[in-house]
Amino acid sequence: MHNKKEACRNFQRGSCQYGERCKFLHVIQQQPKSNAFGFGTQAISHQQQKPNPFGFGVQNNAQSKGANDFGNKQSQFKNTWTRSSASSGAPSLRQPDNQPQATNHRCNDPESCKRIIAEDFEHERPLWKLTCYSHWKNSPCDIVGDVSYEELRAAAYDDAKRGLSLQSIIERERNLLNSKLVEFENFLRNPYRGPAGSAAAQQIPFPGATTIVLSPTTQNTVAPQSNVPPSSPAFLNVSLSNSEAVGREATNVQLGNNLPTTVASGDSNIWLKEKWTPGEIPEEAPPDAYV
Amino acid sequence: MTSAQPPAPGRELSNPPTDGISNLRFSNHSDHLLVSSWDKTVRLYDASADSLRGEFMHGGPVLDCCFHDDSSGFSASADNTVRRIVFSHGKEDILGRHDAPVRCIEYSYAAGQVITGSWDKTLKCWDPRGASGQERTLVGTYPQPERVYSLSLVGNRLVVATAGRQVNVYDLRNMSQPEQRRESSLKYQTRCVRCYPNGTGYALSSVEGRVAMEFFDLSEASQAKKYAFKCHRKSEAGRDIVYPVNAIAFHPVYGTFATGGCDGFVNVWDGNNKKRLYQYSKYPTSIAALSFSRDGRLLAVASSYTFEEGEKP
Repeated sequence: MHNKKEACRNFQRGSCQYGERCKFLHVIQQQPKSNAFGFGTQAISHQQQKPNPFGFGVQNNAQSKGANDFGNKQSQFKNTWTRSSASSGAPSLRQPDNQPQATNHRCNDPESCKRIIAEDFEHERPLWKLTCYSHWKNSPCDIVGDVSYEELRAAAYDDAKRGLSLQSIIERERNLLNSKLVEFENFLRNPYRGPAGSAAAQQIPFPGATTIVLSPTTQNTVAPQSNVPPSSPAFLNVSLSNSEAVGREATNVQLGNNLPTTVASGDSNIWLKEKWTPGEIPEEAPPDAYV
Repeated sequence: MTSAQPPAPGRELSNPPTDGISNLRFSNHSDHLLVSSWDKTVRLYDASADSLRGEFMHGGPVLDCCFHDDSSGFSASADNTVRRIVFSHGKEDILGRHDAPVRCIEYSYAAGQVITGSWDKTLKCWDPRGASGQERTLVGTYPQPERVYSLSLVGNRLVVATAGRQVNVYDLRNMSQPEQRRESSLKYQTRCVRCYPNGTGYALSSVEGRVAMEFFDLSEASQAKKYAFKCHRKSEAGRDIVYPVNAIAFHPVYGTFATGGCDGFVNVWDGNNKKRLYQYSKYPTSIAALSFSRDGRLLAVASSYTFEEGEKP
C-alpha cells in the first residue's frame, strides 16, 4: 500500500478523498492534537448554533466504542456544514462512520444516551411531529408509529369524502399529534421504561398528564420544560394545558385566518401552512368530497 | 449548471394541477414532464414548449408517476391501483392493485418491470408487456417491514425506504430477499431516498433537515466515506427550525444533487466535495418534488399548496 510514514490529516478529519490511493497513512489514531484541531476549526468556521455541533458531538463521541470517551478521535465530526441561510460553499460537514452497521449500540451508558435524547429534543425537534425516532443512528426506532404527511392527507381526504366535518378532521389530527407529543415527552423522561410500551399506552385525552407524570428524574425535569417552548407558545398551550378549549379556540382563530393547521400555533403559522398540507385540506376537501 | 451568483429564477408552467403535486418526472427521452397530483390527475407537459399535452383522470389522488417511454407511463394512486397510461390515445388501464394506497412507482429498464411500493407494506413487481389490458402480470410480491415511503432504482439495484426508518436494498435479479437490510442512519422519519447515478450508493433524507449519503459496498473503506449533513434549517433565536427534506434529485451528468425542503428552498450540493453549490430563491411554499431532465439542463421544481411548478434552465 502506500508506504508513507506520515499520517493523513484529512483522513483523521474524515475527509480524505483519495482512499487507498492516498499518499499518506490512513491510520485511525487517537490524536488529541487533531481532535483539538478539528474542534478548533469547527469553532471558528461555525458561525451560529453552538448547540448543534455539540449535539452532534455528543452523539458522535459516544458512538465510538468506549462509550464515554468524549475526548477521542471523533474530531472527524465537523459540524461545519450549516444550513441554507449560511453562506454558500460553506466548508464541509463530516460525520463519517467507521463501523458499517452500528446496530450493536447497547445503551451502555444510559446517562449519556439520555443526554443525547435531551439534546436532540431540545435543539432539533423537527417540524413534522408524527415521526419515529431513534436516539442512535442505525439503530431501531425508540419511538415507533410514524405517519407521513401523505398518509395524513389521504386519511383526511377520505374522511371528508365520508362526510366528516372539517372540525372533526382537525380534531382527529390534533389528537394524533398530541398523543405523539406525549409519547415523546414520556420517552424523554423514561427512555428505558420500554418506550415502545408507552407507545401503546394512548394517553390521548390527557395532554395534561404529562405534567402529572413529572417523575422526579433529576435532570429530566428541567429538560421537558425547555423542550416545549422551542415550538411556539400556543403549542405549549395545547400540549401542556389540560384544556382542549384553549386549543380549540386557537384553532378557530386559525380557521378565521384561513390557516387551518392542526397545531394551534401563533407566529409559526407561515411554516405550518406550508408544511401541513393536510391542514390545507379543509379548504379543498369539501369540493373534493362532492366529486 | 454552476454559476457564481444565484441562477435566474425559473419559468412557471401554465395549467398546473389544481391540488397539491405529489411527484414529477422528466422523461428519459425528451423534455416531457409527467406530473402526478392530489387532484386525481396525471398531467403530461412539454416542458420546453410549456404546453399541456395530456391530462389523465384517476379514481383517487395520484401519489407517484413514472415514464415508460415517450408514449406511455405508469401511475400509482391512492385508490390502490397501479395504472398504465398511453399518452397518445389518452387511454389508461389498470395494471394491478395493492391493498392500500400505492405510494411509489418506478420502471426498471434493466428488468423491464414496473415496481411499486405501497402502504400495505409490500413491494410488487409487474410485467407490463403481458398486460394487453386483460392479463396483468404480477411478477412478485415482496413483504416489507413497514409501509413503503420511497423507492429508487439504479442499474440492478433497488432501494426501498419504509416507515420505521428501515431501508432495504434489493438486487432486481434476485428479489426473494433483500441484499441488505439496514436502519436509516438518520434519527427521524425517512422522507426520500435516491440512488446516485453512478450506482455506488444512495442519499436518504429525513424530516429532521438532514441528508445521509450512504454506500452499498459494505467494506470498511466504502463505509468510511459515508456522511450526513444538515440542511433546510433556519436558525432563529439560537435554535433551529428544522424542515423536512422532501425531495432529492441527482443531476444525470455532473452527479451533483439538489434537495428540496419544506422551507421552500432548493439547494444544490456537491456530494464529493461536500459543499453547497448554490441555492435557488425561495419558493412560496414547500418543495414537493424535484426532477432533472435527461441532459441535466432543466430542473423541474414542484412547489405545492399554492400549486405552482417552476422550471429553470
